[in-house]
Amino acid sequence: MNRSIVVTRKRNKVTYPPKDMLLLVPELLMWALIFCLPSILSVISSFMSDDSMSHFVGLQNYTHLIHDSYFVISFHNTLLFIGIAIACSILLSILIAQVLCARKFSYLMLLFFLIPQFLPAPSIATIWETLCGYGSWLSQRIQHNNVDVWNFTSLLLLFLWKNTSTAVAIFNIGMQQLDRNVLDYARIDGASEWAIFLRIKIPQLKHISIFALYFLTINSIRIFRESYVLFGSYPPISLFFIQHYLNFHFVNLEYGIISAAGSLFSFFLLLIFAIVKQIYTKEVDEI
Amino acid sequence: MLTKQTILNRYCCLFLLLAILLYPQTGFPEDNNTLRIIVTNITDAHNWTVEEAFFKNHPNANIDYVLHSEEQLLSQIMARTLDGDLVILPYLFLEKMEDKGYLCYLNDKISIDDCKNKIINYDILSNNENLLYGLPIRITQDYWLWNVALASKIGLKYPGATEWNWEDYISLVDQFPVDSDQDGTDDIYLMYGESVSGYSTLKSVSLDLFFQYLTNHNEFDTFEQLYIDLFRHIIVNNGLLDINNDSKNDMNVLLGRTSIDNPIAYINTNYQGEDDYWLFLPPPSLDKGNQQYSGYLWGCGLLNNASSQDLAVDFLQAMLSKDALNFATDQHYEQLVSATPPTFMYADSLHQYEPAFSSNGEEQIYTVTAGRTFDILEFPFTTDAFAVSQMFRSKLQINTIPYSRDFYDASYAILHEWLTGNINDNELTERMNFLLGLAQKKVK
Repeated sequence: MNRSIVVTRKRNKVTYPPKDMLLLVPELLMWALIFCLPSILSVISSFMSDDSMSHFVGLQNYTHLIHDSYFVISFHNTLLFIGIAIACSILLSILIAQVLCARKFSYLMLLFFLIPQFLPAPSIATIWETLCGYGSWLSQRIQHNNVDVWNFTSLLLLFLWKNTSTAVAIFNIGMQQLDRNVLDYARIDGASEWAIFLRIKIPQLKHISIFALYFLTINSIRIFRESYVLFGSYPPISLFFIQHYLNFHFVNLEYGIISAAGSLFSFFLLLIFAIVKQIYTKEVDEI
Repeated sequence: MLTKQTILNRYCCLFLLLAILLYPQTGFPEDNNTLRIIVTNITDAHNWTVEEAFFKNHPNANIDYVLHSEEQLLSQIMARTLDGDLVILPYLFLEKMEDKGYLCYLNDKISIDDCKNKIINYDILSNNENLLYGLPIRITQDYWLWNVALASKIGLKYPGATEWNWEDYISLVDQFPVDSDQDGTDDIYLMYGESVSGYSTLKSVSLDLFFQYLTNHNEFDTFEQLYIDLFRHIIVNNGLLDINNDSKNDMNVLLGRTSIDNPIAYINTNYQGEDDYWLFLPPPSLDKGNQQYSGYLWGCGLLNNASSQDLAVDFLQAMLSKDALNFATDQHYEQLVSATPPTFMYADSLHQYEPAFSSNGEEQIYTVTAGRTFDILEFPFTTDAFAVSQMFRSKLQINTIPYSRDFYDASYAILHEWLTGNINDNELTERMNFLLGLAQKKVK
């Protein structure tokens, strides 16, 4: 069924009169002005010195980054956190969405789960500090084994608590839109709910999972806000993220290094997204 | 087909758009008699002695203090939109601005000999090539206070008469707590411990040694080699009173710790025998031969894009003038930077000249003009007291740790883990080196 839809879409290519493209000009101009120009300027400034008489220094800022152990630690920690947080969040949210799917009052339960999304970072951090902070009952019993792992895990739990609900909502909407006939045919053929979930639902949720992936990636980068409220400018080593690194260089007026670090990190994320998208597109074409 | 009304509407929109775009470029030309000084703190706009000296040569000039938050200031520097002539900022900021070339050097604008002879700590604001980029305007330091009556009650001698270090401090702390009335209960402690909520093991320790070291050094290895046993001895001693322990709040302590402004008020005043009489005591140092005391310094620097550079230079010269240095300001003794004691003191009994910022467009501005009338009093402290206080303040070790409150919190967390045994000495060193490297790493 998917194949026919894709093929039909490809064959029914819609063409518009060229003059209608002019309607896109204001949108393109705004996009160029608000998004492209600052990005280009930021990349340019990554090749400039950071003093008052800014001048071209080539790859000096990038060379500095590669040799800076603090940048390497922050880069590693940020990617590790993003990877683990997204994997856990997607897995958890698909499972919860499956449990909630077609249940009575699932909509109300979803709303309830979404509450953490609307809470401001300081209030979340205060609750978290009480539950997992130094001197809390939980930390005194758990963190004795490995302080770094505990710090990382506590922030990961905070991320999951705050963001999984939205991913659940996304997957829930995706499941509501699945073809009921296919699911019913499978049940008539004797497929178990688990088999239906694994063999029918998950493959068909790939479209929406790419959106969830983008959403969670953006939010996982935003976890810096909670980390900053909880641990300040000097977090434990395991929670030293790229934003902490940028913040310290901002205070030190090192704008060239900030631009280089930002550009490098953005490029790396874009590369990962491009690879994921490529794999995803290939799989969809193969279906 | 476009109607006339539609065309008119479009012209109106275009006009409004152009008006909005052109707005920042319009405005009145800047007044040449206005000096703009960028500050990040209201206290930095409280410079009566220098302002009055400046107005003697420029009676028609205005001084506009522009208040920015630190984030605003950093953003404006990054966007190259910082609009001012002078900046009054903490040393940490000035040093970075000099390093990045945002400040003018003053060697050809003011007399270096004048600086040497007239003010203390001027050399802190010069770089490795002896180029001066600012003048000190305010100094604060941590210092201790000695309870004279309590000390005489238990027969202890004032330890600050000669230089003393942390080992001398240990010999003092070992004598506490004291049961002065022989009733079987200790009632006098050496001093209060740190009050650090959340770190239960750190409620009765003195961390001064630890932080004095950290503000001076960029690595932690030496601390572990030289001072860790000393530090351990201090934190396991019972001579310090847990400030959070309510059951002991009627206890007496011999030493107090403060960092208000200038210790001159506690130096060399006549002891009248009151029970709560406190005397200034310099904190123990790491090295008797090289005593330094941690604190903060604010300086005044000249921006290299200053539009009123002549006025700005005159303001800096006014800081070194006799008119400024011969006066102090009542209740603002942290501003005393002169090498010789002032004769008079400005006072404002009606509080009418306190800085009051008001919104002017997007800026918070406080304007000062000539013609103020202050009460003029005699400087209330003796020459000897002034000399002792300036000697202490000239041994300033500036705390250059950015976000110092966060730094101390992170250090407390690491110490807590160490004291509870979750991390060992090596891990303590590794983590502290990570923090210190982050705080004080010289990037280039």
